[in-house]
Amino acid sequence: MRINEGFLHGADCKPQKSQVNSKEQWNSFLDTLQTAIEEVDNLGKASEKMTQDAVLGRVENLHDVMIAAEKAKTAMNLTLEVRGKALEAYKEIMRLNF
Amino acid sequence: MGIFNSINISATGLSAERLRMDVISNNIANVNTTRTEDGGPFRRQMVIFQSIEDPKKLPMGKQPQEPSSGRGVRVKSIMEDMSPFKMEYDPENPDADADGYVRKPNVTIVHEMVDMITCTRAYEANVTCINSAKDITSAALSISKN
Repeated sequence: MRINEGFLHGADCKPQKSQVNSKEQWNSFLDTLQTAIEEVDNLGKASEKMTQDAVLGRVENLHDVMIAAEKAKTAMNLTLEVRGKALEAYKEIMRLNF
Repeated sequence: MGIFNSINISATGLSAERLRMDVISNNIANVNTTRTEDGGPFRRQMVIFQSIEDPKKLPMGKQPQEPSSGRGVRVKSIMEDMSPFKMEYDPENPDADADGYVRKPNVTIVHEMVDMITCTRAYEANVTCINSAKDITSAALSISKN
């Protein structure tokens, strides 16, 4: 009996718990994505500002401009890569036949 | 961001080497300067580099949880070379002393040229480092392509 009870209890509880968990996980994934995209945007903006300053002759170190541009480029490539992967997974699911 | 660590470290090297180049240029520009604001001829300047430690680094003897590299280099100060001035016999010079000798800066142009070469090479080495770091990230991004 006790074992059964425990089993039922566990069976009752587990799906709910995992539902909440997956929702939380989804939300935290979205948050992470949002933060990452904002960070990429910030790098792009920083690079843009640096380039402007360089054109206006207000930059002390030319290499800082190039490095900012390189960082923005790398971050953008990373984002594109992640987007590609997500789209690939989505397409794969759409291709499923029931 | 962690993936830009090596680029940031090399950037500190680039800035430091650029400042060193400025100081060398200043030394060469002042190779014949006999008057300064402090009085006396120009003294050769040298940059002192100091490493930037990781802020999370523990004091000596304690093992850190995770090993980490330093954070690059910075110019701690610009010091003056206290070696004696060169004496040149030139009685017509307004800065000549009673015996007709002029005190010239302790800058040796050959010395400065060699320093300039090492500075250029060090700058190039840092740029190579940045390019390698960039190649590494691109290589990582190309995982599972095709």
